[in-house]
Amino acid sequence: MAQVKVKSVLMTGNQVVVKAALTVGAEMFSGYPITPTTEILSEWAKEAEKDKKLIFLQTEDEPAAGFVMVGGVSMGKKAWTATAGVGNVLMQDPLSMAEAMRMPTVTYVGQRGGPSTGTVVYSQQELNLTRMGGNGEGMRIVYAPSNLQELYDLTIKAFNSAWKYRFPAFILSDGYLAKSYGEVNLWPLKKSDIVPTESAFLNPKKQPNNIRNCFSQEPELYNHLLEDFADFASISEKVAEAEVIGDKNSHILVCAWGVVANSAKTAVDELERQGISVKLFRPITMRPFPVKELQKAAEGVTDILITESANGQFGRIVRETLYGLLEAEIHRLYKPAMGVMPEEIQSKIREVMR
Amino acid sequence: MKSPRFPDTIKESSKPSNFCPGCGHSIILKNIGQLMADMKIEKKTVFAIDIGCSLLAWDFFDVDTFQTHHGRTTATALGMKRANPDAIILAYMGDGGGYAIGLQNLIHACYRNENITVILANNTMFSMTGGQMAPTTLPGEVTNTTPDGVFTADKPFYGPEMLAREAHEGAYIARAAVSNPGQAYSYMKNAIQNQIDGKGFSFVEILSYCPINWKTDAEGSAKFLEKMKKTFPLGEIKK
Amino acid sequence: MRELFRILVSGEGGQGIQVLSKILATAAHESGKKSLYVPNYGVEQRGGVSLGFVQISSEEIGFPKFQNADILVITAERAVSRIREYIAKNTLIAHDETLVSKESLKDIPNQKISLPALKLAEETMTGKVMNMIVLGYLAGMVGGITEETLKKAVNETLSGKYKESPELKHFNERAIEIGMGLTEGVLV
Repeated sequence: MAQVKVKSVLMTGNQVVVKAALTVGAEMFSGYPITPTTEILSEWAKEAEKDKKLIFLQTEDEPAAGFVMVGGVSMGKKAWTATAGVGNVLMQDPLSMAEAMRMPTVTYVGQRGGPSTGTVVYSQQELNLTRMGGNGEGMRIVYAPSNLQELYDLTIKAFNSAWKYRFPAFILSDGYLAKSYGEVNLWPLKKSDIVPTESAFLNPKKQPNNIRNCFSQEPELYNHLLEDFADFASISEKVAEAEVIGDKNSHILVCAWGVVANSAKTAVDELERQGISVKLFRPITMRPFPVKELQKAAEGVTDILITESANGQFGRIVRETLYGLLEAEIHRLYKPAMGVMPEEIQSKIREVMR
Repeated sequence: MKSPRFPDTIKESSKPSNFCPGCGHSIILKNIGQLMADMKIEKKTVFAIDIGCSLLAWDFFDVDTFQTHHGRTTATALGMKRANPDAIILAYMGDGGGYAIGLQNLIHACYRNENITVILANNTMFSMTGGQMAPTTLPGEVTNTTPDGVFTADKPFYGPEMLAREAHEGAYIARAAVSNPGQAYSYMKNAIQNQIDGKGFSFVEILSYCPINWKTDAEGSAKFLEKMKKTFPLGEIKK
Repeated sequence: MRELFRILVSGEGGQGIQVLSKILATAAHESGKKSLYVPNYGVEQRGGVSLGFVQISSEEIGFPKFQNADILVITAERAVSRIREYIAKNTLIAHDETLVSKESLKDIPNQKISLPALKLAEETMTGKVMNMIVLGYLAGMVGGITEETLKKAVNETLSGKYKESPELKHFNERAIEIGMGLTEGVLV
């Protein structure tokens, strides 16, 4: 796909997400204010003021916002929402229904400190909740941008993946990215690169559609789930994405995701300048997880440093993915609800090398 | 062979339905099916239903139907309406779904004058889970979770009256009972017409039977409903 | 050679810390540099300590925050306890002596520069433009940002306020000039 050269603009992360949603044809937004994603509401409200075809609703709570979204999706609108922290907890009610009923939804999450009200600032503690939330099996597509440009690129991808594969999609961001102000290239998208929507109802060419999420008998649900699992498995290799940076032959592997991967990248670059070679594995999709990519990156490695702004939520995925495959020693730099600065990662790597 | 008494909107393949003998839902649903056929709106309507016994209606009609989560039917329904204002959206729920877990969504839909129609069956309890106390439980009524009767609240929950206070000009709010099907039919018709006319929120509470959880026979059920009618006056509360 | 300035602006709510940080990032971008700004924020709408993290570089910038500031501006005494963790050996500390006593910084051994932003603002115009003097000073320290580019970024960002108080445009521009003048002859 040829990208037209566009002059970059300065924007905050939340503004970038709204621009991306518009680029990929979002038509409807419902949400409830919560720091650090409130500006998604106010920015969309401004856009809806300019373009009367856009639908906007500020609801009375997060579940309402989510169910309004699913209602909109069922009628063929490209609807989405944004939330954070305790709002993300409440949002699992509609999202588990979307997952059960294969409704394509897009949810932008700006992670903040937890548990409970925590802080309004930043964390990576909503990883488990966003990947596996609800009383189900995590049939969700979760993208994890690490900078403002990726907020744009991956938001567009999230919409297209949701509507293409009919699983709820997420942009799992955080307070730092949401509030950062920097340069972004808002490249345009051809109409033909936008996955179209379809209404589940009132289709004159089809029989009336009776849809449900409640089953009476165990085998009914079981068989239904097996079909969904098979679908999810079949898309997983196509959707899963990762990035490996640095010296591919290094025996030290750093694993980080989201904005912390950005911090780790800065650290790895800086060490390289000092003549120290390290490699970084960074998943772009947190679900489906890039299992093969991590296993390949870890081949021949003696030390693995896992770093995240949570107390091992990501670490457990890494360890599970590599279980039984290697003897490498695992090192941890876990800072729940705190940023992980490039300088800290650098000194931790030096410590690991000693 | 289809009985001549049933309109085409009622799905034959899913009958007999899963509702208990003597349940009020069957009466209300049959009424709604008749109404959709009479108003010729079945091709434009989406029927959205809650959790609770109402969910058993997920395949009751040969009409687009969306079974949602407990208390969340109102929010889903208004999302559908906002996405497609030409559609007619009927939301169907029980008193637990509407007045307990879903009240926040219901009252805000009313307050914002969302142009949808909500039909709520009130049988004074949570029935699918075996007859627990609901906001509508009558004074002194024995339920699964109030074995000695309800005494903490000396008056039950007056849903339509409460909604009417927050409702806008143009909203339609009424209370009917399954024992007066003609009146229920005409109130529901008024409500749907209100939506078609774009006047905003419309709501009909229908007092309904639950012989299984009331532990009543036919005569006892009729008596219980009469008692309910004394507590919850029938009529058009806002039009 | 990569050029990188990690600037931490600290003060308190109402001083215009965030607006100056954002304009600095904008002006740097307009001058062909890479820039990234992130505010600290909490549950308070206004009030409390206010920190702005600005990075300006000749190359792509990664993480929005940093551990070690190259330049640290302090314009409120109660910010002192919050900024200690960002001070490294080479951090240059610019503080407004009217607002931050020498006493409160005496255990910090770093090189310090007195930045009389409030005094200059009050003497020449109004205390409200103190942040614009700080902005001019920081742009001057970074270098490669012209007075014209900076004024344009200021006026575009604050044009909404000029309707109520038209004199503010002149004040802001004058404050920029004063701020930039403070860095003349200073080598970092």
